[in-house]
Amino acid sequence: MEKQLEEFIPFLENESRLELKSVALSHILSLTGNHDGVEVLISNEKLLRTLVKLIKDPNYVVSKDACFTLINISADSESVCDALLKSSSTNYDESGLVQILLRNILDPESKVTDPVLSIFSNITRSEMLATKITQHILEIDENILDRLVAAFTKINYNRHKQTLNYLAAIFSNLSQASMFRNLIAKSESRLLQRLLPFTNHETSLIRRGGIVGLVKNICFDSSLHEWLFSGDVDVLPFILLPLSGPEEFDDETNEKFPIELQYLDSEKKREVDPDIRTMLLESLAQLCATKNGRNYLREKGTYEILRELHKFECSAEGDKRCLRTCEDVVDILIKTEDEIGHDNLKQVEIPQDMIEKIEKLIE
Amino acid sequence: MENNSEIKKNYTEEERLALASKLDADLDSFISSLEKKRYTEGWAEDKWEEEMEKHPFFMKKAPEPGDDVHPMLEGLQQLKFDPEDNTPDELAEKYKEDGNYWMKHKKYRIAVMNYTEGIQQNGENQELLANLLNNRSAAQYFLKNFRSSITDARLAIQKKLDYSKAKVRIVRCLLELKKFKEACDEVQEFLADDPTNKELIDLQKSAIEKKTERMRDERKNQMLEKKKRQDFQALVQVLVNRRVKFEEIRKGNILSDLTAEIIKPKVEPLEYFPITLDKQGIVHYPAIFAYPEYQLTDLQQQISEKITIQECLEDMFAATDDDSPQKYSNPDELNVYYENRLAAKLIKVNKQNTIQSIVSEKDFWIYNGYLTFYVIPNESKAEKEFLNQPRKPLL
Repeated sequence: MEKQLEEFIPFLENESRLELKSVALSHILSLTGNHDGVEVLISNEKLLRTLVKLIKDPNYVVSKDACFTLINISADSESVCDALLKSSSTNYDESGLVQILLRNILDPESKVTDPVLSIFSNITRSEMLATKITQHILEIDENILDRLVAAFTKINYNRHKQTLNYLAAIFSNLSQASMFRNLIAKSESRLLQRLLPFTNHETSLIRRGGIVGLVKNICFDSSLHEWLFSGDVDVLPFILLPLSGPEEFDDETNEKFPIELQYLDSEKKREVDPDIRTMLLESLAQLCATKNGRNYLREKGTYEILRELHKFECSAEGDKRCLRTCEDVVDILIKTEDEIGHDNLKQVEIPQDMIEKIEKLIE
Repeated sequence: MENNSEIKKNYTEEERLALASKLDADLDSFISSLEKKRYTEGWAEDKWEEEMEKHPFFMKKAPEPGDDVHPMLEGLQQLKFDPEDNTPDELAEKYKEDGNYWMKHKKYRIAVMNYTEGIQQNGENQELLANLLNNRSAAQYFLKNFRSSITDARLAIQKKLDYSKAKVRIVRCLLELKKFKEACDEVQEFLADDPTNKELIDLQKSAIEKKTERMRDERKNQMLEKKKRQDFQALVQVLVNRRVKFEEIRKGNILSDLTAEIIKPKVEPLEYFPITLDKQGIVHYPAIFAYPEYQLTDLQQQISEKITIQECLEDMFAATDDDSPQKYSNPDELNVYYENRLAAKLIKVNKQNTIQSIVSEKDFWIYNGYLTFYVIPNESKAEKEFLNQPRKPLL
């Protein structure tokens, strides 16, 4: 099998004839249909490098098939992704996988940006990969994040109908790395503020979900909470708005809410995707870590919004996981500060035997 | 040289004086021998101040457009703007400088005219053209011609793609025009290309704030309107249940025909106190108690339907102040009537009945948005006159 693969490589070179290239490529593509096929492909570094170069091929079908091949390969497992990266990124030169992907994403004339983004999303899936890739892209271009956000936020950035929606998923994946989170927090070009409005993006679930994922991960860092609540970012309305529904409140309660949530009428639609709702609730749970955070959430009427959400989650349209997470947050908000006693829940010391017990439970 | 000093004559004081006057006399005779001519080229004596004001070198204030221009000034202008001497770009540059001068002096209309001239030169220098357009946009902004300002700024950006000042101005204009949503959208686009521009960032905050406030205010108003409609519907339902009749809806159906306009009391003091339904489900009516004997009336803003006429009268008579004349004091001596205008009938009221039961009587029709009761002493002359007044049925 391996020897036959070697024979394929010349046909896949850029200079080869188009018909040969496409036929060879479609064979490779079909190999990626199952795990064994992927394993075989991964073992041949030269083949991988050749495939990566085909992304740049001027023929649309070839380039697209190359992308799909790599999507399937990278979807396999973390170790496969690692191998893929190792094989193709040498000295950050023009033929490096990440280089090629980035160039394609930022090129408004590219016709394969969306498939390329899928590859990128796959190779950033785990925390280890996210950290590696963050480092890698910064070494390529220290302003890379600015350019990616600019492309993401500009309407019709790409001239060939590529949506760039998966870039949101990439931001979410990369935010698993603390290096990335710090970049966002320290950015001078207000990266987070420009991305937050997409938590309400109606048409694309991916766009919405990706940004919500990003928010959730950022909320894990309690040192950023003050900044998140401040007028400069004001993250709370973006989290609460998707969670609120058509229920109407009295004047007194309305005046508590952030302006964006005041006097919403019966037309308001709640976020339909339960995974996104869960992530939003998890963000709130994280924001409850500090005393100031908890008080701020209470002041802004978070409890009232969650009370109505709870009713919805109990109904037939609701979701069990959302319900549990909702109850977790409500439990914290209901308690008084005296009862809670701690300023920052994240700094509570957990005794070793408790840690062992909890870990046993998770297994 | 020594010779000169010996030859040099030593004048005495007298000789010096004589020489001086001789020279003076010579000069005088020379001058008088010259032709005498009148000096005609100067300004007229009586008008010299006016002339000085007009002279380009001495004028204290600049000429306004439409003023007559001193020929010298016209000459200077022609020199400066001579198309034979200047290329279109040079002309455009001169007009730009003039325009900038007027901007500094806050004469924005003149500035606009200058910039327009500059633009119309159709020069080749695109950067200059962009500047002219941007500057004209600024002048328009100060003149509060926000739409024109936007048009010019957009044209400027077409010529010079990263023209921050023009972009900032567009957003400011949109905010002035209160087009908050458009402002938000535009500033978002601009920030995508220039994410650290502080002015744009501040404007964005402002635009978003105003937009969300406006949206909230609209939602709030809608909610209030909705509540008003719901309250009105609830009232209508109760009135239907009570079999209340309105003159204005003789033939029709209260449920579908009753409007806020019909309910509105047609007399000024009661205008803001229409029939209302309270939280306990009790109806309150505005009412007029008329006293034909004295040609006076008492107005009650909201009487509960649950009280009786007797209680009503007692309350009213007890609550008079010392200034107004006591009309009546004892309800027992009084009769109360209401009028069915459609049938031209007067119906006497049983004072022990509640307002609710009286309003539901078959002859009781509400008109003008309030209840009308006539109060008159029993078996008095006034009562006889009142009862015998000719009445015609309302058509």
